[in-house]
Amino acid sequence: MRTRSKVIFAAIIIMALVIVGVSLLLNQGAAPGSGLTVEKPAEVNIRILSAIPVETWVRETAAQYNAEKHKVGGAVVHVEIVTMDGLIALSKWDKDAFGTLPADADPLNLTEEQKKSLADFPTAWIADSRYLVELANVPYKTRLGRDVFLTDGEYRARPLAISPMVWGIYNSRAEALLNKYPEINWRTIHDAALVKGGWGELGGDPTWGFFKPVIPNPQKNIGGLEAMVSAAGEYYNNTRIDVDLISQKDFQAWLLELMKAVTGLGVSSYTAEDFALFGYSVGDGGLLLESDLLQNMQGMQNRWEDNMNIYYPQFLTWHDFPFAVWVGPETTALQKNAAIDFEQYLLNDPQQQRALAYGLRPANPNVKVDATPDSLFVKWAGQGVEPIVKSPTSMKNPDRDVLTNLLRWYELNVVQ
Amino acid sequence: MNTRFSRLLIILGILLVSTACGFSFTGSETPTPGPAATPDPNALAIAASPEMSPLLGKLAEQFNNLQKGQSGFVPVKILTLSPADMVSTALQPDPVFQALNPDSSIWLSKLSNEWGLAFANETAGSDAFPISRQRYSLPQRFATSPVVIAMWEKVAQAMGWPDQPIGWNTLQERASQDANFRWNHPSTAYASGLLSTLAEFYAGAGVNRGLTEDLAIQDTTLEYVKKVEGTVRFYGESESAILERLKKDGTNLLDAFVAQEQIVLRWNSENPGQRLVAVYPIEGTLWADYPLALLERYADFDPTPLSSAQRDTYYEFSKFLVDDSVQQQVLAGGYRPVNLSIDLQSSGSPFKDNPSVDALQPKTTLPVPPYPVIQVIEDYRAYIKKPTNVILVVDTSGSMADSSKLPRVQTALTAFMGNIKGKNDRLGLIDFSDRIKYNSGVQSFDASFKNTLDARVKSLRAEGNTAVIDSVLEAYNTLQELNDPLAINAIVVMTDGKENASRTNITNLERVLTQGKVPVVVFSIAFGKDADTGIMKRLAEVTNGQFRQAETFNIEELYKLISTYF
Repeated sequence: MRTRSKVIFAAIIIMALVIVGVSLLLNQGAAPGSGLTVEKPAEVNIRILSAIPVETWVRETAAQYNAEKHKVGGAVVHVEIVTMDGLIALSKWDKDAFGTLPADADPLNLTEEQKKSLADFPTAWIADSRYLVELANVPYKTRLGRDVFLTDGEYRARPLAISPMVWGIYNSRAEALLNKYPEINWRTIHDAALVKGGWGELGGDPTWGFFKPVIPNPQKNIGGLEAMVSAAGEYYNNTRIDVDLISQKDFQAWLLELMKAVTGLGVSSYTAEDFALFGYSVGDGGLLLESDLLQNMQGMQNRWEDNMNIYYPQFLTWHDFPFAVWVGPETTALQKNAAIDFEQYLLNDPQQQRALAYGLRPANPNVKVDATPDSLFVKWAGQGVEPIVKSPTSMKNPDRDVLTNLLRWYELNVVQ
Repeated sequence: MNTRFSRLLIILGILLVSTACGFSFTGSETPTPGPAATPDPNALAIAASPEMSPLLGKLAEQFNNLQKGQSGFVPVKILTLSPADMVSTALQPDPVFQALNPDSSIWLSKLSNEWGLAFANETAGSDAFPISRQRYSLPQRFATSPVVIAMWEKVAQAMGWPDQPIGWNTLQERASQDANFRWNHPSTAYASGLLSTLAEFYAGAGVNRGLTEDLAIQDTTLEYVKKVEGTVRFYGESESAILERLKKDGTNLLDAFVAQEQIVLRWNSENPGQRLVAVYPIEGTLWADYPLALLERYADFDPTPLSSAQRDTYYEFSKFLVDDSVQQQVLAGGYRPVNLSIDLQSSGSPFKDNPSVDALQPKTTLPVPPYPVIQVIEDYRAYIKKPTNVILVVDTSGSMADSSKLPRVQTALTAFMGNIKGKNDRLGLIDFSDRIKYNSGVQSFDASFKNTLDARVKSLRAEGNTAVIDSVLEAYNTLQELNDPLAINAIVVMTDGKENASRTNITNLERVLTQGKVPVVVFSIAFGKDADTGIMKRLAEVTNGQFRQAETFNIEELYKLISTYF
């Protein structure tokens, strides 16, 4: 009897040990690279938030990168792309919606719940513009006393590609406008939009209705906010816009007239795609992201038998799509290094050349905009696209207060 | 070791195993069954508009077959809802669907605005960036169709089509001047209904753009809109429902109606003898652009989170919808595909060499005013539409005691009355079995009368035989005595049994129904399998009304649907 009890006890102990061992193994394998493990995992997952205009290029590049099984610190890197408009991402950072750890959390002794909550935390963010990244740093500086996206050092935000906001106007409409006005600029767009007799008075076909300008919705697309900044730049002939300038009554009245004349579907982030899908009915032209416009040029020609001409504003705003690595204990050093590895991959010559097919200007200076036969800069050279933008003036990044004030003004005066 | 110690060792061992087992299962999740109304975590439910629902359902089936057996995916299921209902549901916690596909982006704007207002305090007064949390993300379009005025070819030609431009004003003038001109638009719960009403507001305010709230609610605007709405033949529900009525009741029912271009193509392909043409209003139109959008859920608002599988399935399904082969199916369905490499004039395309539509139209859009103006148009529908006098005729014979019939009808009647909001609308209730048990008369539906009818509905009792013909005659005579020809006069009659107690007969009633001074429309509902469908159909047919078959599961929905006609 005693011997049998001993055997049963020993068997039970062995069984328990086996189960514990298997559990540990399974748990270790279940979330490679997540949390703050000290083990060297075989795989590391990184999650990248991507701005919409570069999403297709980045996603396809990520698929190729994943297929090639790149390793960092001995671990195979797997990149996951999450598409998110820059303003939405900014509002999430602003509200800490991704869930940073409390300031007093010990990164080496996180609870299971904390580890689980970090599983979806972004490793890096490809924003539309560098100044969105700077804006995202503001609340964290208050909360944590430091930046979470760096401007120098190994983890600094680097541009992946660039693209300016440009005027795209249907050829037929541009011809009529330029017969009446000396050039396409904010003043022309404003004045033409306010002409009571519409196209008939502007020298175009009266059946075209009113001149309908399109500007992205600032609540949905950072391009809309940039448009208002650029309009202010031209209005004041000044590249540095501050709160005082945008608060002037004359400017606000002028801007309100312009914004009230803007047409659109209200929710779209893809204004150039709207032109391709809905033709003149959505508008006669507008301020669009060059890459977005180039990507949709063929569609416009197919569907509406009319192309758009590109005109570069005197006061340019640029999207530079910075790759910003999150610098905080929410992601591991291995994940951060994996993100840097993927960033380098995106900046390699072959990937930068592929960006040309999406109308993006390479950030890598080795790659020229006409480097490949499928470059949209080659294909649409006849529509006014400039390989090197001659426009002399770039708008300076405005302060956070300027953007906040413009958005609140828009909400109160245009939406309401 | 003694026996007691042996047992202790065994118990200790079992405890160790239990602990180990508990540890090993920590990572696994056992689904907890929730109440029936909670979202299904094992599916991606998409709310779709009635026009798109059949095509989207077919595409979802193809997608589900492709994904079957693959890990990380859940099946896509399609629910049919009006866009207005999608928005109101999405504003509530834990909607039963995870994504929505209204007929126009205008509904996403509405959702965005109302959601933003609900959470405005998150950014108000702080230095937070003034972008509130979003209820939806990743909108993806896969099909588009402009809203047009659908007209029979001969009617359009008589109005100058295709050489003369025709617009909203042309339609409104014609309807106001010609009493025989019959037209209709869907309810404002659909983009096409909202647009045609918006066009009336523009014309009424005398502007082509810059419609403000003040302009919209000024007396002259409302008077104009009321006048035009007074010419509407009947208030519709969805465009598909209008097509069904045309099929059933014949093309003489309407001369023109507002619908999407794809409805014109669909009708013409199914009914080659009588051709509709799409008139693109000269003042501009709107697009049905069918945005598919994922609903974002928030832990402090929605008890059921969105799973990774649901999010991944959404992303894959959105990609699937813009795939070349799927886009060809979209084109075959009469929609304009979003894949811009597809030529609308390609072989087999419904647009190819088809004079009833013009792929290069529309040329301009009707400016969509700011959200508060849209809200005015929705809210003031009750004030601008044609006044209604409607009598609910309800069978409370003995058979209504079966199962849960009577409670369901009581709920349905309450829902119907809740939807009657017009300040000029009047309502009546007749409760019958082998005799008329109660006739409220037709009265303005103010708070006092509402309380009276609510109390009566709650006290309904099932007993006796069925005298449906006498009851409809009573309702008809009540409306004739009211003598209000400028209003819509209607009877909504429901029975679950066979006629067996009336003093008059159906032939006599049919004769009476067509001879009165005031036209009366009958909406008849045959409730359950024993209902007298023959009589109910004849009542609807002879009055240009509608016949509907109902069961206990959909009687409430049906009453709500019929209420949208008034």
